[in-house]
Amino acid sequence: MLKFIVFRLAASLFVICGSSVLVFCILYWLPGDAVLSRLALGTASPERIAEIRHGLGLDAPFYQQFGVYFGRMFRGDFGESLVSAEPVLPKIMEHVPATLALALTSTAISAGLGVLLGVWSAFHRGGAVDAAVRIVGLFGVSMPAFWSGIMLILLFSVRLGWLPPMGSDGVRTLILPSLTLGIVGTGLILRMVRSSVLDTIREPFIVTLRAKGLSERAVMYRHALRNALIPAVTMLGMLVGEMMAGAVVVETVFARQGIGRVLADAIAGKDLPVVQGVVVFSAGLYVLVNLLVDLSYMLIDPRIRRTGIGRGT
Amino acid sequence: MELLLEASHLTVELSTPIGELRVIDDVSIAIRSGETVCLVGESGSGKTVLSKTVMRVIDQENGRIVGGSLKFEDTVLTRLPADEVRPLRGSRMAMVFQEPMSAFDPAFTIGSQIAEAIVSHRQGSRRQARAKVVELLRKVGVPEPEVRMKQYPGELSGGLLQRAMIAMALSCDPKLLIADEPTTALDATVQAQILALLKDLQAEFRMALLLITHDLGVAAAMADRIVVMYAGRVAESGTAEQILTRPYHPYTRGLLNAVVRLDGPRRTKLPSMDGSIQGPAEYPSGCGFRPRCPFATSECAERPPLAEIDGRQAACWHAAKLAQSSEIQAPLSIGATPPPNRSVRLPMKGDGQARAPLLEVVDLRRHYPMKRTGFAPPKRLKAVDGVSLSLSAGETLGLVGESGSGKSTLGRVILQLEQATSGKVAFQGRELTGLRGRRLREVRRSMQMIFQDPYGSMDPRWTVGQIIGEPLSIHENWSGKEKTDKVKELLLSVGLDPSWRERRPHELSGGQKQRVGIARALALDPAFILADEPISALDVSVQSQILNLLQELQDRRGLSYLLIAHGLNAVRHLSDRVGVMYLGKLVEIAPSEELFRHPAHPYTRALIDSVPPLVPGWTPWKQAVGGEIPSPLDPPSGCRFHPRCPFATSRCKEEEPAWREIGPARAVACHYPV
Repeated sequence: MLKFIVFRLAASLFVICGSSVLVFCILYWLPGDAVLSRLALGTASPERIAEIRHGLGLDAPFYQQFGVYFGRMFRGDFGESLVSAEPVLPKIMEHVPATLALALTSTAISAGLGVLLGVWSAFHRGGAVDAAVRIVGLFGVSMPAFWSGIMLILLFSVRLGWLPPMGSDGVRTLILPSLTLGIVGTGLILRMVRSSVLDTIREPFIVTLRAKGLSERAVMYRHALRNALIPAVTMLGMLVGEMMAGAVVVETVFARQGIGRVLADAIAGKDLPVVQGVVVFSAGLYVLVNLLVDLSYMLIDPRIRRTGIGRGT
Repeated sequence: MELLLEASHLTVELSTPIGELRVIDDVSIAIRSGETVCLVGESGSGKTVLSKTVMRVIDQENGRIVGGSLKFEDTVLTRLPADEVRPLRGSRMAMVFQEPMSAFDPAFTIGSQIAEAIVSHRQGSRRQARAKVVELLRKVGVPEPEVRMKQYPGELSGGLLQRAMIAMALSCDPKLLIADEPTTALDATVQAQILALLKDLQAEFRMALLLITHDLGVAAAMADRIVVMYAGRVAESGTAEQILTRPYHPYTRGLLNAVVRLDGPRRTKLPSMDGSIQGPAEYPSGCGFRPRCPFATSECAERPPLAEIDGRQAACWHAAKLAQSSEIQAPLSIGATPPPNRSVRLPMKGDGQARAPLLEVVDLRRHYPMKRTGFAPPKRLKAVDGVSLSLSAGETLGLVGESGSGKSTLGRVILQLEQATSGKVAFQGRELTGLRGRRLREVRRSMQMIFQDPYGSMDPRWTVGQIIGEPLSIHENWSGKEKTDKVKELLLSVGLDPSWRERRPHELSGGQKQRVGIARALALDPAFILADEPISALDVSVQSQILNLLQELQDRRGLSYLLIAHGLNAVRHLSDRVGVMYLGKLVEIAPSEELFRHPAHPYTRALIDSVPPLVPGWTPWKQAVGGEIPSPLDPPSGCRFHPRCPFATSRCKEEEPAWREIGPARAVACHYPV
């Protein structure tokens, strides 16, 4: 058990390093740099640009920049923004709560609504309820978040005037963005739960449960659901990645504070240290959540608990 | 005895994507309290649907009763609302299923699932239920019930799970226990234990037993009355004695004749029925058995009623006539027929120099290293642990033993489908264990395999022609007309129509699929065929067809077979010699007849004793061996069989018995051979 956790943490370190190297290389080889995007085109002389570049260390060869950056990163120093000269770590930490609030609310919406609708649809398979729910699921997974976000703004802010279209203070501004993200997650979870429940109720043990006189409600909710939810929990872990990616879009659409927005701005400005910081943070979060998901398996599925969870990972 | 369950003219339909299927058609049966009724028939005859209808669990499976009536005790079940049926299920009537492994919810402990039944029928509080679970598990012979009840289904063996399932069924003192093929998934030794347990419990709880089985031996051992079903209808019903000794219906008779018997003649052509049972969508009008019946006349186009004849019921227009004629023979009287019609070729002493064996296996081992747990050195699972045997050309060597004895692994290592850990396999004088790549492929031409699950061993998207022709393209580089001709010839030789090469596996019945599997194995004209449980997935009437085919092909082509099977009857019938395996070791080998007449190893004896013969009222299973095969990870010390052996002494515990010859072509590994 402990061995498993240690192994997984070591593996996550590897994942985080790998993703930072990847991001570093992509940003290095992309045309343009932070200096060019910071200075309005044509206002500075080429000498001035070279000077600033030299000051930031951007004219050094690749291996040198690479060495310096990762040397500092391992000491916990993520450097300063090339654009605003703010230190990166505090900048990220400042924006984490807003994004976390968004991610948690939309995950809760996805899980709650997804499981509920998925189960409902499976229990009424073939009927009108099932058809309606399946359309909702299809809508969820296929509509891009920026489009459904704009539609929600048009309906609830512009037409009805119930909710603010933008901003990031207070609960009211959280509703539309988390609904936008939640629609995607609901679609994913609903489809997963539905097919998983349908598989489970075809298992032979369901007949045994009926034959021993359990009510249909007990058969479905106590037994079928518990077995069906095991794969859905995995989905929840993967959803975190989905939410982080979604946050970039949604925070931009709703003009919210948050690390998604920070990331979007930093990429546009080729602000390497900030991009790196956000990537390391989200990769770490992703790995951590999935570790928790794997551990929670042991609570749900006795087969994994007894046979040792290290197997197959 | 009072009437407990009565179904009269019961008709059940299932709604399926292809329409309403009538799966139970005008079935009448009655069960009196305390008696055992066996429902026999092949798969697709409607046995399981009937049992599910009685429990009314058919409702959730798109089935409904469209005619007739069903009465249990004083309650008419036919149109009873679901929430009034539910209190009866699991309390007044209970059910035991075929696959104990998949019949328990894997996410709950055994104990909690049994307790759930007790609590849901308000037979006690949770605490009382737990105490009752321990008592029930003890009663059904589960050792250490307090420990076992806290385990999950995946942690128990099939035999123990089936005992737990029975405990669950008994938890509320049912008056009727329905057991749907309760022992089919289990080894014969465990089957004997479970059958004995059912019989004991039935007397103790004074309940009626509706036992569904395809195995007539089981029916003979258990039944007071037998109901034979075919194509959703009752073909014949009567006392066990009547059905087993003087069957009136041609189907019953065919079924009984098709059973391979432990005391019958060996290597004879088995009497078998043609064809196989149709699916419910193709049930013929009139008599359902008409297409396969040798006595069918134009009269049979009209449906025969289930009529009373000589104190039994039979649904056949010709029953009265056939009962008089000698055409219907009592199958039990053909027991003593002439000895094998074929000279047994045994590798005798002195014969060896003249004719080298086709296949020679010396001290073969296959060990699987296991994952290290904790600080203990990693264990090794010794699936095959030092087996030596030989096989001459044209000979059949049978290999028997419980599941987990290493039979299949041995077969795969011989074919080099798995690498041997040590030991030698010589085929036609050539050592195989070191061969790789092209050289190995060359040898494989003459060593082929027939699989247990014919459907699983074929690509469902391929046509029969492609499946059979593939080895020809790979090894002979054949194509076009040459290949097509060979495929046609192969299809003919396994008794299939050559035009069937355009069909796909799902269009064929189980027996036909197995024939295709055999044709594929024959394509390259092999000298040796490994048949791993070739008939155990097939219906009784089809089994004998396949056994006949295997024999015929051997006689025609001089094939050698290594026949792996857990069904002793078939092994005895087909094999010249039989080897018995236990926990990775060969414990006895002998000429077939000898082995079954005078088994030398107590394990061989136990295996033979656990097969129910076709004689009503047989009960010697109480002598059958107790316990179950241990894990090959921790084999017992000394003789591996000693913990289960009735004759074991302290010597058996400490010293591993040597492999020694005790007669011509006979050897045994036992300190005290019988």
